[in-house]
Amino acid sequence: MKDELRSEPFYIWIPQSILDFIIQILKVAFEFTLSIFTSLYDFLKTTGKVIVSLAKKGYEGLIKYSRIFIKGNYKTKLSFLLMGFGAYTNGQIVKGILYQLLQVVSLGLLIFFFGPYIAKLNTLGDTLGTPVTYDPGNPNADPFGYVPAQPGDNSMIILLLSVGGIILAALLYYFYLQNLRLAEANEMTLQVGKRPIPFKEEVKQLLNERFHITVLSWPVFFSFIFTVLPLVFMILIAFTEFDRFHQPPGSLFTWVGLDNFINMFSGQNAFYSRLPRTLWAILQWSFVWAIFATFLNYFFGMILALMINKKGIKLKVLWRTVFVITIAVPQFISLLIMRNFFNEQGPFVNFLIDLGLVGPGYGPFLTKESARFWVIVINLWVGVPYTMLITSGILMNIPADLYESATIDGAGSITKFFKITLPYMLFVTGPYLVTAFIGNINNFNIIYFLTGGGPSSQQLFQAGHTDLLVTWLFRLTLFDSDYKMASTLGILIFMISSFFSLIIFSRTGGIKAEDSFQ
Amino acid sequence: MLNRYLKTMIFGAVTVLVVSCGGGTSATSSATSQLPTYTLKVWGPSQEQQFLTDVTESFKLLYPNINLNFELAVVGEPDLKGILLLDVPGGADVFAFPDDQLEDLVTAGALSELTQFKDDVIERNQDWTIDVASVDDKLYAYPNTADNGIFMYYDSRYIQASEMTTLDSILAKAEELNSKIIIDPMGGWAMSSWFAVPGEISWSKTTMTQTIDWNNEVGLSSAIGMYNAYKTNLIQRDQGIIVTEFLENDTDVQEGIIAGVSGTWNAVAIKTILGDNYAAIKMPTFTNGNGQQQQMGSMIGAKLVGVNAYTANPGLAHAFANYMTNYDNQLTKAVTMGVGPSNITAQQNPEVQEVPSLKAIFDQAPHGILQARSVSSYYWSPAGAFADALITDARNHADNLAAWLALPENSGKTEADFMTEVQIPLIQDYLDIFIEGVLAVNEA
Repeated sequence: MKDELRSEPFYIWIPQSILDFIIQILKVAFEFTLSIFTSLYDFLKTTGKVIVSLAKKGYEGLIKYSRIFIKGNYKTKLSFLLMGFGAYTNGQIVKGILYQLLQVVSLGLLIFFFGPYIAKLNTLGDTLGTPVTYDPGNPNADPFGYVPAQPGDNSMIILLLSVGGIILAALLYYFYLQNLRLAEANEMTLQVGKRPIPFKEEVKQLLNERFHITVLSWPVFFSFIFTVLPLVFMILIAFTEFDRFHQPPGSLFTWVGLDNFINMFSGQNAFYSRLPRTLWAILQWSFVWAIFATFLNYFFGMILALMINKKGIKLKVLWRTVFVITIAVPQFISLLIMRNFFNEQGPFVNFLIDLGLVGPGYGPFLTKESARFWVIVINLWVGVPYTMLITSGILMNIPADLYESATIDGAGSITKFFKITLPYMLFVTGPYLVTAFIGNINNFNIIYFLTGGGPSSQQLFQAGHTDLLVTWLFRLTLFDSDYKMASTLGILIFMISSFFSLIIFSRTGGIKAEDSFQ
Repeated sequence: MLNRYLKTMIFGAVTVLVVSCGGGTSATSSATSQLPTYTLKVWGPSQEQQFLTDVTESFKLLYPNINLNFELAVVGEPDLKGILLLDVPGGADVFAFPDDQLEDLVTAGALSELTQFKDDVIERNQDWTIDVASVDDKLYAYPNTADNGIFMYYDSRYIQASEMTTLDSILAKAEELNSKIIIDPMGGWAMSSWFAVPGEISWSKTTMTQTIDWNNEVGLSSAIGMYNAYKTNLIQRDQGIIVTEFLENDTDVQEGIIAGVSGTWNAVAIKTILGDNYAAIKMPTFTNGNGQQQQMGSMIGAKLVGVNAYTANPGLAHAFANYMTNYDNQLTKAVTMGVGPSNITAQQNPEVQEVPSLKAIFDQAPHGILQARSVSSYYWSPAGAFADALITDARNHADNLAAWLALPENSGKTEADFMTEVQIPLIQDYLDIFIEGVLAVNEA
């Protein structure tokens, strides 16, 4: 490598280095595409293994609990029916009572509160209610002559509370199994001759040695209610027909199975005929946008950091501070201001008109190509300070002796950049680039506040030319009340994002291992 | 530690008991007063909160034998549907919304049908406002205003009423003064004005059928007229900044606008800016593709007041909604807030006729199409896309023409050839795609 630097003049090796660099990138891209297929195969294999191991665990669990039943004394056997029996008959009175209470309350809730909703889960309701009616002669009428409303089935509430009930049942099941193991453990302890831990002792333990259980149980519990429940609910909506024509409480909706997904990909329903085309177009643009947004920001941030870092530049801290201050302004405020700034009657366009660069009708966000170009450029302006900060930190950590030895060997600054700086930066910020790429596929703020997804397209279904998958989802939800399609789209976005994250991360791991830094 | 435990448990239990005992629902008798207590929740836009407070006070005087409480909250009219449908039984008892939300609210079963006051409401309000408040001959809301629509505001320093009758003369004046005007397609809402008058359009929610013929020859002629207007590059298309643009006229009319298309929502603001130079007039005529003058239409709509179908106090809610939208209160709103009434007698009141924006709206109304009866919610996206496509082409007309003429096979051809061979077929294409998109709802 060092010999190369000395023998050839710069106008040969600069293009050659650039060519090498491009070839390297192409190689990586090619291996990446290949690896998608191997990763798919690995993924399917792993899924199969996971299913098999889950089945095995289930079977083993069945055996284990049957053994507990068979070998246990009458107290343990009874705790299969009454939770907590194996505790309060063995000396752990308070704990036993708590378990029993849990069983009674949960079963009561499940049967009397959640039960009616779960019972209607397969049809999601079949009778509508009646609204208030004016009927002075009716014996049920109030003093003003109106008969009150009769509540009917509300499909959305049925779905929501059924999911809630199922989650409660799952929690109950978990504690039921705990109860069985507790009964067995107590029996064992008594057989050995020791006493099971009394409640006071247990509480002290939970606050000391087993504090991790106390502290973790609350977040887990609440995350079930506030995260898992809404998530499951929204995923299930994708399999129903919940949209603006089926709004509770005035209308019912029911399950439609995979129809929404079929419509999304084939558009056989005439109303949704443009969906597949729209999905494909927006997916393409999301990827193109993510590539440009991530890599342009990265390179320009790095160049900016390099420029500030250069020996001989005064007031380094001032320049960095100036750029960092722009981060302090919340992104959506600066984006909304930018939107007005680039308005077709705004100062920027007037400036361009004065310079004679564009005609009077020009608007940056009016045509497809123009809007896409300007969105990428403005994103550059917004995002460069972040990448500058990140790369600054890493740049300052590159061992200086690498540069010194290169200078001694006669390398110019461009060589140093391509052979030392760039490989080192890519090596260190590899994972960051991956995360940023996936994040940019779903970068809602920039697109929505700058263009609103526009300019509108005649070919696409309820979407514009700069719409990403997430902004399209937002439009479907808010303006069309097309919840079922939005939910379907959400599931697709999740699958795409997670799929690519997993592949790229496994590739990066591979790269990291084999690419020892030269 | 056990003591502390006990104390905390007792404290907790007492708190729970106290909290659950507080708070009341409607129709509870309080021990102290003998009157039954009722509570009504009312939602209205922020600019009407003062008006609503006054109305609720005067309504309470009509019922001296009960204890009536009102809970007012600000919910903007365009947001009403989204917020109400989140939880209909928990929403307000009386609320205000624009007429294009009526169908969705009826599908969701959120509106209580009018029975007690139906005949009176039909008799005292303008016909088309009753029409948009009904589905299948059932009246579902009380008409409150009749002024949703567009007309032109203008700065009388720079242009006179006589010059505001045709779009050509308006544009000529704008060019003479080196100024501009604003006609914003508004996502298809104001864009309908180019097509509405000669075209056929209708939407029926009950049969879920949309009919529209704006891509036939008549529609093409209208579209060419629209193209020719935007081609002059004297028309800006952002209605949101119309007020600031009028403000520019104080310093330099070349930076501002001499006229602009907007609605009554901007009346107060523009009047403040222009002061004595404030004027409004109905939409002008424009020259269509066949060279004839064609009146620009508009989409007209009304604001309605609805009663929640699951309200706990239907009698009082209906009585209040009826009171809120009667002649006296509509007249008050017209005079103080410049809002056009739907009450027939109020419309003919000389005070109302004097307000320039209201006069413009009433003059324009005969040329309007009912928004709620013309388009489904799937009209807007194709319409907005069509407007974008057409206006972009119009703005770039000069460049496109020059590029086309520069081609060797087109030497010796004229602008008219460019239009017939290139641009007009393109406009027809845009129209076809637009209409196809709008008609797609028929398959839903």
